Amino acid sequence: MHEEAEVLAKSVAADEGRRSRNWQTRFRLVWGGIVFLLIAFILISLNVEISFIQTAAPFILQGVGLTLLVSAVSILFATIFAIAGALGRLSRSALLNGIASFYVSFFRGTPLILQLLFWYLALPQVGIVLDPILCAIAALAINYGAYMTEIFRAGIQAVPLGQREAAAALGMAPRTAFLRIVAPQAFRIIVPAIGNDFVAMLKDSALASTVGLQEILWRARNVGAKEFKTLQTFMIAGVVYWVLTIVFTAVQNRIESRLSAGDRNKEAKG
Amino acid sequence: MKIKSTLLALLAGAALVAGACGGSTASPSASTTAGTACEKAIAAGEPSTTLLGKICAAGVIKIATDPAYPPYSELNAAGEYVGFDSDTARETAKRLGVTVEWVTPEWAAITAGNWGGRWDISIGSMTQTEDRAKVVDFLDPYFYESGYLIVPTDSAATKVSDLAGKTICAGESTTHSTWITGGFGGSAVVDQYNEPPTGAVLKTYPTDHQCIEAYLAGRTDDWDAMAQSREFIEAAIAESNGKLRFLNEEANFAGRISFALDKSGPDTASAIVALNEIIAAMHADGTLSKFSMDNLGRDVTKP
Repeated sequence: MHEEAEVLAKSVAADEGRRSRNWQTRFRLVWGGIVFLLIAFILISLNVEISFIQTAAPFILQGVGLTLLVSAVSILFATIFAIAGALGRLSRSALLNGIASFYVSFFRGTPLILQLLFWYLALPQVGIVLDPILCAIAALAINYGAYMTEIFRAGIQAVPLGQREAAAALGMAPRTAFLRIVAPQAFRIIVPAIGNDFVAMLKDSALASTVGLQEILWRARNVGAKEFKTLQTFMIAGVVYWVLTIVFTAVQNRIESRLSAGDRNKEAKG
Repeated sequence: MKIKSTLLALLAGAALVAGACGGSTASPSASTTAGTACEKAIAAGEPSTTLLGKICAAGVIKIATDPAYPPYSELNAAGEYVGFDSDTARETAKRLGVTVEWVTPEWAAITAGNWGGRWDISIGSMTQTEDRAKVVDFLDPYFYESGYLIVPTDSAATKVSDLAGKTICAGESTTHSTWITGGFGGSAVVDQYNEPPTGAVLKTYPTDHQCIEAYLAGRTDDWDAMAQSREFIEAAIAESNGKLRFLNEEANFAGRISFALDKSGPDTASAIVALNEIIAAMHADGTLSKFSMDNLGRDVTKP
């Protein structure tokens, strides 16, 4: 009886393994099929010249470093602004809360490209001339900081009140409780959001091409324009951005799974 | 105000240092026996508050250019600027005795003036017009360029008046777009040969190239004609596989192409004198003609 059950269990497990392997295979086939069709469509109907792409692609790829640099520095500052903003939004002080909520409302309520042009065109009128790269970083960091403020605030508020009460019951001062109990738990909620925003920022950094920053899109536009071939160079740029987001999404998943290693909530859910 | 005066003091200090260095080291360029324009200016006590003084003190001239406007200026795959404007810009900087820093703003931002010190000069095929002269100072022309029209090969139009009421494409803030929307009648700096077609509708893109690209991509209803220079149109026709042609061989207007300086920036008077001397010398010694032959295959530097 016991043996039979074991055999049955084994065969069920094997069956499940097979099914999941099958599923994986079909999943990959779907991806491969779509990519194949896409490439075939582009090659057949869009008049692509391989020799042109071979000369244009290296020029466009030279912009990857700048795109990554701008995005990385911007996400760093955005995180700092968001921490300050979230603490402001949670503050009982009318002054701090007012400033933080104005910040969020204003910078989420206006288009990012307008903010970028403001840093680029408006500031020189009052004698402050920022380099295009600083304009791009300022625009991205401040804009993303506003969005992330709300995420951070929600992350902090998602830590159950009971945690703070328990800390207080143990005699912890509110500030210590926030730093030792609330912040680390909020951190776990917030980090995936930072990763998401970094991936989004990789793409939004393309807006910096409008102020002459020689990143991926700027290079694609200019190397294509002179031969009237921007469609082809935009496709190269598209592939570059896509690969970058795939890579950084994978990195983000790694970080996320490592962070959730000790998360009892997730373990309980199985 | 305080920040400004501190900056000025710093610049003055830099000018002194640059002057001292310039005096102690022999100039590597043998072509100019009398020294570069900056050496002369500094020796004559040019204050660092003027544009010339600022450029000489920094040892760098920031030049606004278009990275995708061959054969005038083009950033090649090796990361170098090549073309008629680029050659002219480099030679001008050499004769000033400073190095070049390229800046690549949108065209409309250059013609609008108020550069805020982001670049010192435009050496980018800018045609003199009275409107632009309100915000920028033009130097003496370094070449001359005429406006032509390009039409689809199957177009029935053969002269400008055939395009009355039609849509004509041009790059934003270009002289070609100005011609379409009213022309240069009465202008002292642009010679107009043909009135623009009556009732023509202007369609613009941020760059001229987008007119051609939109058409070649299949947006054939986008425009009935497009206005640009001879070199541009020749390149577009070559790219079009027989889909585009010149309207006719007649130029509609001819302009003087010049370097431009920002009127709202530091005092330009001494820079205008120094740069006009350099331009006159480059005309006289055949440098500009050579650059023109090298890049365009013909000499456009004479009116």
